[in-house]
Amino acid sequence: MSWIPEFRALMRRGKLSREIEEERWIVSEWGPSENNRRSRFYRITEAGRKQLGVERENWRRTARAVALVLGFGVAMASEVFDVTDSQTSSADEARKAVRGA
Amino acid sequence: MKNDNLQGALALLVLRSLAQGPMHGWGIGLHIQRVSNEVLRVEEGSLYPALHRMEEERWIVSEWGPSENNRRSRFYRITEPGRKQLSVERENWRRTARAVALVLGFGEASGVFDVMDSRISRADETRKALQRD
Repeated sequence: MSWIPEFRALMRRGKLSREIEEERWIVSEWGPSENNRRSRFYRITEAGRKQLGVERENWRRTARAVALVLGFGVAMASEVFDVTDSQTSSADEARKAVRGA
Repeated sequence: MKNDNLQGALALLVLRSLAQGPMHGWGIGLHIQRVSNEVLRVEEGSLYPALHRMEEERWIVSEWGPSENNRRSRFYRITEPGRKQLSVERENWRRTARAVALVLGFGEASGVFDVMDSRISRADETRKALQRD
């Protein structure tokens, strides 16, 4: 998927954090890092959490659709991509069932 | 994920579609849309440039032929290098999707992804056994 290298390239240029900071999805401040040097610390905002929820769901939908076209099977597509946070335990059960099968 | 982020995956989707048999451009778009349960829609504006690039890479070849309604259409066919590319990129996609799923907290994706291939090969074996009967 193309956006992973793109993401890396953006990170390298420091552009990504500036962009998402401009969107007010994160805020940053200076603080001491582990080795006692000053580092910039990033924190997610309420708007950022909302964005995360929307984009996380978009990613799941798209990745599931791509998995189907690539022939990774309906079972896999729904086991991985139909999982939500509240269903983690049932996903674990599904995984065990698959392993047991 | 926005539509433009899908651009990189488009070649992969097209190769996989053509691995089922030759299709014309319109048919490729329809196939992807149908198999993805209408989630993925390939616009002509991105499909034809992608087909052109893939032809230059020699992953696909095309020729004119009659379509269902007896008009001349350009038919695309996957080549041996295209099949090789498909298998490499399909595996890359699986690895990346699994990794992203883990970071996004979609359960322990690794277990499912790992068993997935063995399940598929089992399904293939079953299908072959059925065909023999």
